[in-house]
Amino acid sequence: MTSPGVCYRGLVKRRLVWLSAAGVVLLAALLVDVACGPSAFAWQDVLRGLLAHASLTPAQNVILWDIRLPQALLAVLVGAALGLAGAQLQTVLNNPLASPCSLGLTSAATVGAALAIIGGWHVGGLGQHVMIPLLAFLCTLGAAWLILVLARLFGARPEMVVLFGIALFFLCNALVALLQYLAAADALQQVVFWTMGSVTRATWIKNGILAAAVLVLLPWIMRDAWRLTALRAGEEHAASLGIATERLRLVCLVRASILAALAVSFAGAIAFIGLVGPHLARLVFGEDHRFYLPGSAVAGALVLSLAAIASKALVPGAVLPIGIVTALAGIPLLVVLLFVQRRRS
Amino acid sequence: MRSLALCLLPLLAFAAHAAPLTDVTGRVVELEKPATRVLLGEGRFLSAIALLERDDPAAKIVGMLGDFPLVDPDGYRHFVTAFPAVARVPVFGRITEDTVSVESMVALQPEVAVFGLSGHGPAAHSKETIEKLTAAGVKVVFIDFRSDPLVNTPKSMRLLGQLFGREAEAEEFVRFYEAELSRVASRMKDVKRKPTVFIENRVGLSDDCCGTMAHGMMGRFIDFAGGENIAKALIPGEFGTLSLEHLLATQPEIYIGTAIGSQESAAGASMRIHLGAAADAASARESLRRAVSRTGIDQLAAVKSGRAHAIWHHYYNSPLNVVAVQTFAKWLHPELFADLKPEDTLKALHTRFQKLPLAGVFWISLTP
Repeated sequence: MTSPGVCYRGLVKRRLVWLSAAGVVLLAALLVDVACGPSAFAWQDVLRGLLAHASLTPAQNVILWDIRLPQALLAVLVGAALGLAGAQLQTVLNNPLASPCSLGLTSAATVGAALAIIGGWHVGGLGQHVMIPLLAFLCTLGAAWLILVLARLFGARPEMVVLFGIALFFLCNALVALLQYLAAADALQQVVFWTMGSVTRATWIKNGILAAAVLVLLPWIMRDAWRLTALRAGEEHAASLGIATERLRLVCLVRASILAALAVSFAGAIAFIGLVGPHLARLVFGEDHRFYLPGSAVAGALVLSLAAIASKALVPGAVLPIGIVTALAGIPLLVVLLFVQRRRS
Repeated sequence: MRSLALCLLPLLAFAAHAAPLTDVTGRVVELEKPATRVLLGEGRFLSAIALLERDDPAAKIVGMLGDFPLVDPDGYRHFVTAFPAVARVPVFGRITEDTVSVESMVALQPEVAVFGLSGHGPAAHSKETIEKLTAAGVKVVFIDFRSDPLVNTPKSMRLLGQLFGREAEAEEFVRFYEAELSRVASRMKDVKRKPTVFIENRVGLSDDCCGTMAHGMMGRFIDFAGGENIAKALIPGEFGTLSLEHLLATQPEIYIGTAIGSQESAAGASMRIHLGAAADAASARESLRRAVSRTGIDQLAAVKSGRAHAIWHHYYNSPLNVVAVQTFAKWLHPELFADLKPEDTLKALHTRFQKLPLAGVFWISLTP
């Protein structure tokens, strides 16, 4: 009979292997995403171009460095940010349905984007390409702040946060509908397109901002990993270990809001990832947040990256907004994992 | 000749009473006399009405959708300056069918409602609206300048002529229209090779590249003018989005952007191209230059070689579309159509048919 210690070390080792494997698969997906596209661009040329971009024609350089790479990276970064946001929310709210979308954060971003599109403001010479993500970001933070203030009034109880989130979701949707009603035809279609979510608006600046946010927030989130694991065993259990659960909840909400706000303000309303990323991670890594948190980021990134590949493969040459495809890429993955897990148990 | 036609007009109008109207969907509607209370499913149809009801296009209009000032503010201002009564026409709804209440339409007591086959207002698919209006005694007819513009423009204008009792004016317009179209069609047999064309729909509407038109709208103008629209093989419907990468890989020979700019957008940091009633050539060209300097688009051979052009967007839904077809023909086959002057066609439309002063610039090329 093996001792519990050996058993635990084995489990940790297995999870580390799984996490590394998921990382490798993600890297492979990223490479496939960069290597595929509607133009006849041999993967050898892509590799050569990545190493020495002087070897490509100007048009090929635009395709590789301004279209494929930024879009592929944005898919990965947005997926990771939404996965991380959803993972924290599901834990601190003790609710498997919690996600940036179900808390109304995505809808708040849409309100901001719609305001920028329909208002058509140009503050200080900033064009719409800056105003739309900026207002989307500010609106999402505003919505998160509103949830936080209301939740604090009621002791930051999870069910209160969820309830305010759902109320906010409906409020924001009504506001978007109102804005759409008032909008001119072209602005209206622009809002509709925005809500479908797309990585075609990727730029290196957006990727840089999002990468910085993920890289700064991930270590901070990981410092709370054991507290979050303890919280999964129950509110009282966590409190008995000396964890300030209310404070933990608020900090996680802030971090999740920042991640979700940046992700949706750059890529539009991509709904599914913040929900399914954490669920995929939980199936593979269980509740140990040292693995569940980075696992959610990797899972979110993987699903969105696969969705990016799928959207290019489904209609080569035309653009199919990635938001339409995310469920097509995520649900099969979820079903497979559920199936594997059932067979294991 | 024209005065003779106008003298004969009452006779023709009388003759029309017996003939039932057949619209572009094949619906047959009987009218006892020309309509005097007409409802427009799109405000932009006024520019078609102005070809027939030349002194006051608003005289018989009891209500219209509010789209005109919202989608083409420059054009609307110009139109209202020429025909001030247009500003007093009651407006129902805004720019989509969902914003229209049947009650408000019925309350305007129209005899006939003129709707577009597809597009912004109530359309052929709006079954409930049509049934309710019919039940309220309002006759509903469909016209179309949008889905199949070159086929349906003559049909729609003849229908409007019958409807308003302006058959002679309609016939005169249709004859002119078909003659001008055939100036392009008749030379198509001399076209040896069709150049590839990419048409970018509503340039600057969003950061996303590259909205386009395929089967329908201005896609039909490209077919007619002897071009190979690269979107046709990929986009199944009237419009869709091509990927920028596909565009760079395909390298169409000619780039055409549709211009949705206005005085308001020209004042801001917009990527929209500014054409239309309030545009001038220099600023229009500058806005086109800005639009084609976007990353990726600037790598198109068509842009680099100067074969990049812009067309006023609203020709996609206007009986004046023949001007755009002629312009496309010149862009696609400059030598074959060297003698064709779309600016003269446009001038003729404004002096012979519409009493709307010609102002502005409606197409522009990157190289003068």
